[in-house]
Amino acid sequence: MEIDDARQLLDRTGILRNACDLDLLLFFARHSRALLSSESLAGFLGYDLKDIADSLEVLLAGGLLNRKQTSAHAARLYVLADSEPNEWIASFLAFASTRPGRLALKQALVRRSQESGNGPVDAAVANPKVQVNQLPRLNVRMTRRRGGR
Amino acid sequence: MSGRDLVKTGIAGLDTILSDGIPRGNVILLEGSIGTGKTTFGLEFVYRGASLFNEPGIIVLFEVSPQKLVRDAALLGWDLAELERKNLLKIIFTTRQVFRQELQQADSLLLDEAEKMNARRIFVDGVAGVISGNGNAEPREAFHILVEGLQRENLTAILALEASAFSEVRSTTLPEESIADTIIRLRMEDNSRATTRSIEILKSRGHDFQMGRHSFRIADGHGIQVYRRVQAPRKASRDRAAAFDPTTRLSTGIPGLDELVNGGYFVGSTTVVAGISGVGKSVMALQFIAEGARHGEPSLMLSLDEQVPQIIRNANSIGIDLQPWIDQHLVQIVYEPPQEIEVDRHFHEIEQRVAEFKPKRVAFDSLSTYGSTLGTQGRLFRDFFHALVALMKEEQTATVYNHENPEMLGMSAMMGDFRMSSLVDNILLMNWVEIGDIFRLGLTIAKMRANPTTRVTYECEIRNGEGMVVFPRALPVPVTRLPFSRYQSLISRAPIRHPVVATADETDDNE
Repeated sequence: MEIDDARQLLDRTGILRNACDLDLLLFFARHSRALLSSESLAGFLGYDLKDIADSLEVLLAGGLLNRKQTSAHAARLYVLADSEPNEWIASFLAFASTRPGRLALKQALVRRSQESGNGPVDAAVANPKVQVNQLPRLNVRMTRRRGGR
Repeated sequence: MSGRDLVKTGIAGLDTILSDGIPRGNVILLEGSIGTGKTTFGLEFVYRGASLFNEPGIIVLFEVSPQKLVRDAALLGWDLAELERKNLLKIIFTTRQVFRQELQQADSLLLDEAEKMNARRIFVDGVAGVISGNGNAEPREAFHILVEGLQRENLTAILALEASAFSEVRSTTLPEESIADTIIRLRMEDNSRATTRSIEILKSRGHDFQMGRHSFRIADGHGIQVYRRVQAPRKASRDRAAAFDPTTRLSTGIPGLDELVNGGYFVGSTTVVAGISGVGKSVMALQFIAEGARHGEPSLMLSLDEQVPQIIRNANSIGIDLQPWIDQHLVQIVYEPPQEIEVDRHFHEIEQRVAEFKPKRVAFDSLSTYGSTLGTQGRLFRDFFHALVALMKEEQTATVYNHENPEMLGMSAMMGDFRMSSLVDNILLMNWVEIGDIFRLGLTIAKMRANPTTRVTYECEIRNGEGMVVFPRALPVPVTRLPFSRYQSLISRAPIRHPVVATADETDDNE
């Protein structure tokens, strides 16, 4: 059922596509106002620059992240959006605060990707050794989808 | 310092040491090794600015995640998330390289953030790499660039510098230290297997401050509490402590003693009762406190030797029921374990208690325990006692200090190793006197400043249910023992009867 909870959470966000999106969102949850270059982000998270750039665009387009920049600087100021009723973010972060939770989310991302026929599947992510009983229970009523009124 | 634009840190006890604050715009270098409390210090500086003085602030982090900082601040009782929601605080995570570049750029995103929120304070946690890792620039130049950027925005900044960047034993100063306006150093000090924290202001441009190493603690739910070192000069108002009222007397509560001390201890006086263990010093202190309570005078007893329930029980055994007075807030009995006393904190707490409770009488039991804890050879004990006497005089309390003199028979010095008798107004010596095979108790008023005293030794004893009683010099007849007045050399440990003929009604059990 926890995998289903993870899937349900991802459906609520509606924007996360892959592990990089997820890890980047979690990074900005821990560092809600970060003045960093893409290279630094890639270094912190261990993804290619292109993956980071794509994921940044996803989060920005989804309204989860705001970005300020000046032309002369490589660094950007990223601020996690907090203007919306982010009830789902709180439950999402709580779910992702444990390793089993994160792995379940990644597994759900992979399954969703497979179902839609998009992208290659990372074996380690697709079949994580997750103990189902280690997963946190999802205990949040999500009444609104982001942007939906 | 009126008219000066001083930034109050808001850190408890620190602004007093800084003479009300730090000049606005100063760049403060905060030095300290790992675990000394640099992050908490800088965080509290910004937090207090935002929450107490409505001065928005920015915290720049390079290693600790903002999420952890928010979590740790919550343990100290600080809601950083709420301040962020109110736009009074921004916690920015970045790299040293980016930070360095930001401060050099006119269109800096970081400084733009600062301007938008009208930030007045900034804390940068860990500047060592910012300075040393600046490519071609020399460290001095790099730090200068950093300082220029901060000054341009009129930010009062705390820059934390890690232990790896400086050494306690170095002989030269760092470039940062000569450029910074204020240098504050935090230390962990080893003290006979205990560890205490200290804070020292090494320099601070544009204002006065109290030098030396002061103590501080970090307490859950409160944050940092700085305790001025007990030796630090006090305010000029303390000079009036020397003045006292020699006409108002406070009864000692000991039958027979008031007559010997000209009616009681005068207000603001310092009295030492010296004698070996068991002579009744604590009993006398309890009677002194109880007498105050009977007269409706707030009275405080501070014990290092016995815990409160034990003191209450002891008082009961001499017919004194302290509990009702404690319940009425007329009496406070405080026990402080003597182990590892942090003297600055201890003095601060006494100061606070006296300021709030406003006792007319205070009894310390005992001075000798302070001596054994703080050591009597160095200056620490002497300075502590000086400060204590000055405080009590300023507050116009009559204070009694019990002092355990180690000599069982006779005394070669009034206060042993303490050598503090010149500070004291009154000294009462309690001595065992061996007559025949009986130890009898003698009391001598050895000193009464600005008052007459005969220095006669009087017999006294502790009576069950009554406490200490001082006998008149001439005991009423018939008596079972010769009065002390029939002896000489009592204190010299060789009492000899006067060569007078005893009257028929004087008998001596010992003969």
